[in-house]
Amino acid sequence: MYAWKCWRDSRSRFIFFLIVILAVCVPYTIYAARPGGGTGIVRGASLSGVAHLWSWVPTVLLQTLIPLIALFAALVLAPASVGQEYREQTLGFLFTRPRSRRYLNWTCWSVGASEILGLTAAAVVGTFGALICVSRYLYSWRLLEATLPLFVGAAAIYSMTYCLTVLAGSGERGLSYGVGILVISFFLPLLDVTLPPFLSHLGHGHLFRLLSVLGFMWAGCESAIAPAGEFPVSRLVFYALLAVAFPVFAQLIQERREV
Amino acid sequence: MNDTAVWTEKLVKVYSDVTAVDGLDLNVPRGVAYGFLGRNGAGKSSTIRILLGLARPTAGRGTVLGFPIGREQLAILERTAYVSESKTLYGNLTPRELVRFTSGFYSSWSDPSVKKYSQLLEIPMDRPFSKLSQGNKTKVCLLLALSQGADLLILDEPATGLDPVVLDEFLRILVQDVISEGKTVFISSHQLSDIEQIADWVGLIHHGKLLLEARLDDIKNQFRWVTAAGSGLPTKSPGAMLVASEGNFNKYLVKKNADAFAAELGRQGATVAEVSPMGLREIFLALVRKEDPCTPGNVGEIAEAVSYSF
Repeated sequence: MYAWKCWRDSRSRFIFFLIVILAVCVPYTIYAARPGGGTGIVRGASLSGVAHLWSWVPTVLLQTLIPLIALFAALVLAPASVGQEYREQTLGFLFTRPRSRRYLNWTCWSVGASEILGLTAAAVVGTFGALICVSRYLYSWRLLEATLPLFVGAAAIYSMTYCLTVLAGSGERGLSYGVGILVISFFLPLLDVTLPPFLSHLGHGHLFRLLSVLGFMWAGCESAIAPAGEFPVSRLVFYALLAVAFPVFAQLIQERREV
Repeated sequence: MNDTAVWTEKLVKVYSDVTAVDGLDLNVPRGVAYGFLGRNGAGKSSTIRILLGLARPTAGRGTVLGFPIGREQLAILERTAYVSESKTLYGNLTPRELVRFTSGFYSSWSDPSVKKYSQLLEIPMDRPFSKLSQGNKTKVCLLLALSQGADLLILDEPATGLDPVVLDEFLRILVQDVISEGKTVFISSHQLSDIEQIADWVGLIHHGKLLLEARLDDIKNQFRWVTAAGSGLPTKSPGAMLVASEGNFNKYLVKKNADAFAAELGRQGATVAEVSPMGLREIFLALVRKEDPCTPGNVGEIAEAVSYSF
């Protein structure tokens, strides 16, 4: 029942971002890839050799807009339900239900994480689906590989903001802190700060580039993703661990919180 | 401890520099209505929060329905219904949705009870909680608590915002449907007249300490005002305290054997003007004022530190 309540709290934001993603991905893909649209697309043919397409769809749309939308969605969805508990001061009610705080914490986090997964899947399926419709060519795309980096990157931001919301005891403050940390991490390279090796993935815009993997894959620019030109497994694992570590930390805070 | 619904031993709760609960020893028998009385800030809500696991005790221990506080909290919560002082629930949910939400947590949930009490308490079930009046919010909280099928109801200021008719109906429900079923009701309240109506036991807490814990009938039968006139009257006496002194008249609160105390005063040359029974309100005020000489309205002089625990 708590999952239902969390979904109720966040569904309007989820639906908003779902509409935004589909409204951006599908029409833009159809527009950019339309015959005569400057991309040189041929019905029933693979798009792999269509040079113009890469300059339109992947670089602009997939590498920029979708990561940005995913980033904002992660920031906004994170404090939706747990922030509501603090704003309405209902933790006393919730924590006197016969469920462990661990269960309540992970249920709340899972609902938001599922919504992030839904949004990233919608972005990939929407974009790929639109291209399939336009080109009438069925591609053997690595859908999971395309979805995973976007999801993991967004999930890391979501988890961080979720944890900050719990730590601050306020949805507004959690969101502010989350934005603040992202802005700092964005400007980190300018500060010429040398990060320890295990934190190297935090610098140089790696998170945003992880979110853009989908675009890079489309562009055939795997070399831009990682110096070795391979799928960014280590970065993916790093952010996946972060995405799980934050709710664990949030759980520890919740279990010790006095209401 | 198994025949006690709530038991605590030397329970302490300190918030930074404030001691909210100070060595509290509670013994709430099962199957009774227990009135937990005290002034604002006396430590009532802090005690309740500790019992429910919302706060951790600084020291001491306790059990609820035989389950140790903190260690078996889920077993306690499964069997305990709680209405908080603030009466805050999810504002965007209607009472019907709140019922749906809450029912999922309890195996002992009773839908017939929801139907019965929502009608008896005249609850608008389809308006968002945030749009309800304070009285209706209180009713929804009570509805959820009553429908849980809990063995113990912990009600923190349950009468907030209730009009006299609904309050009367609620007290009747507590007596007829809850206490008569062998369940325990633990009510924290300032409304002494309501407590007096239904409580079997009362506990009086002040500055985090228990001043009095006894059966209400015992208190009513044994506590007496003794008013005496004379010179050189005692200011100290076992089992009695001087509450007020004006001219030659002294007014004593006697916790038991009032007649013997009056006879003793007579032997000392005093004229005993009156030995009269006391209501819960008078006892409450006398004990609290004794502890707080600066309490507004207190004209008495402290005669003796008496433990009123039976």
